[in-house]
Amino acid sequence: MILARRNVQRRQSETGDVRCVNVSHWFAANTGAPVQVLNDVCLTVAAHSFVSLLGPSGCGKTTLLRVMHGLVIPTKGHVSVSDGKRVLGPEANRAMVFQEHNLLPWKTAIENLKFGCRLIGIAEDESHRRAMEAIDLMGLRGFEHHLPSQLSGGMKQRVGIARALCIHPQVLLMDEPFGALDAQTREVMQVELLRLWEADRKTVVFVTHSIDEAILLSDQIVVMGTRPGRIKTVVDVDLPRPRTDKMRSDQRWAALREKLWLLLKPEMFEAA
Amino acid sequence: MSIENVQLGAAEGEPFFRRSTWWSSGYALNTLSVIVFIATWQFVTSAGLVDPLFLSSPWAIAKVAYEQFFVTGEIYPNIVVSLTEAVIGFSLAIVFGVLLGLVMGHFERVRQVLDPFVMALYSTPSVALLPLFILWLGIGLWSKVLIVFLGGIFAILVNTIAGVRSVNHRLIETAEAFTATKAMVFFYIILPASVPYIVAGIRLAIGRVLISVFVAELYAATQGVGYLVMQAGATYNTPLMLMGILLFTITGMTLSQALSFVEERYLSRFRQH
Repeated sequence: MILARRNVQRRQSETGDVRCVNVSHWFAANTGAPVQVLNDVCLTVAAHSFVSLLGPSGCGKTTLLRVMHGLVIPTKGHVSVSDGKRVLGPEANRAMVFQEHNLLPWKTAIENLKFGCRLIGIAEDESHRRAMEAIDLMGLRGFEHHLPSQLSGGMKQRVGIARALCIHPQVLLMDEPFGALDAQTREVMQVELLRLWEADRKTVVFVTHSIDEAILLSDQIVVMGTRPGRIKTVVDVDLPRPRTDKMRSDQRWAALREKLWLLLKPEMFEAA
Repeated sequence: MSIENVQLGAAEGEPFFRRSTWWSSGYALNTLSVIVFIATWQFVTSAGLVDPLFLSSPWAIAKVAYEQFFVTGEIYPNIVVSLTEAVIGFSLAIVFGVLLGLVMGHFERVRQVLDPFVMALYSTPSVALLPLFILWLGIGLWSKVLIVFLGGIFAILVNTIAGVRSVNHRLIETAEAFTATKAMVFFYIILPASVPYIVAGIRLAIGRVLISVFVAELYAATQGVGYLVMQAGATYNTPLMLMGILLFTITGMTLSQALSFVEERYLSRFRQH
């Protein structure tokens, strides 16, 4: 059967670190020369750490995330995951959460969760067990048989995150997952994500253009610049874990915010 | 003023909903308008305001229908012939329209090769090809099946192609992010996402299929409801002619309603949101 897939056993030794080595990428342009979107990006995301890619629109942060996932194969350089395994395409050890929830509109919440599992080759009963687990974890009880059109924006994104968690990835790649949500829902989801991450500390690469979101969530913030997209600097967040919303009034938060804003300001004005 | 003093419109008891009355529901108005129409028609004809040759009364049509169905039974062979043409031609149109549409929508190269021919045949009135098909297949069943097939297939084909091509690309990419193969993307994403377009194509095709059956039987036929209508017209049997036309009307409405039912009952979740 062409739709069946062997369930590939994952090696126990896999750690879940992500290494980008001299990654450069060009997009073909309709007219004229190809446009460079990433210039010589070298970045190591340690296993079990939470790293944010912060920058203005057009800095290539989403492209970099896609390169890490394998949805985009870079023109130059390469990415390796878990002790040097070269990324040649999407694999089940990495899961992506999209900005637009990207749920199948004809499948209910639980069917969407099981769908992700089915695609990577997990058997039906195991998919169901994992889906129920993720539904509890993301607070979706009572909504499992709702179609996406019957869910609020925040709920849809919960399902989007749950779908990624269902395949038990080592690396969670999140592309502005809260970008389309209203301010209040966004803050609730940030706290939820913190709680989730504290529980098992997967490696997370999180794309955002919100400075506060990056500070609240990350161990390290990768500040990116535009034209072409490149890494400007990497800033460590020295706030203690577990993080809470109340740290927004911390002295260190304010200092960090100031520092990041000064780094981003010239890029923002250029991009605007 | 304290907040407790504020009264909302429906603070006590059950929330207030306007009761729907029998005359405000859609079905009642539908039925009423039809009854009024038929009554007016009956009045106009039985009062002798129009020549019965031009327009028979509903009662006269009902009488003819009763004779045709329950006394002489002459109508049945005609219905069987027309229905056979319609069922075979329509089924083939659905099967090939959907399959070819999926292939043409999915594979750019196939579409480029076949597009000129599809456009040409789509633009040609298929009944104009009837004389040619009679040369090929004779005046029996199969020349008419071919006309019905051609009459129905293009609405389905063109809609299916549009459905496949309009699939939300982000959903395809999401499946790919979850390591889906090309076959998985096709069967799990593209096919279900095309369902509303396919249904819309089939709905359009119903009318075209009925037109094709009717026109095919006007030309070189010996039986069929279309043939019956033409014969009745030629012999000034206006009630029989109108009854034949009414059979087409009822068939079209029934098929359309049946499709709506299937869509509502089984396919509603595939609709675009």
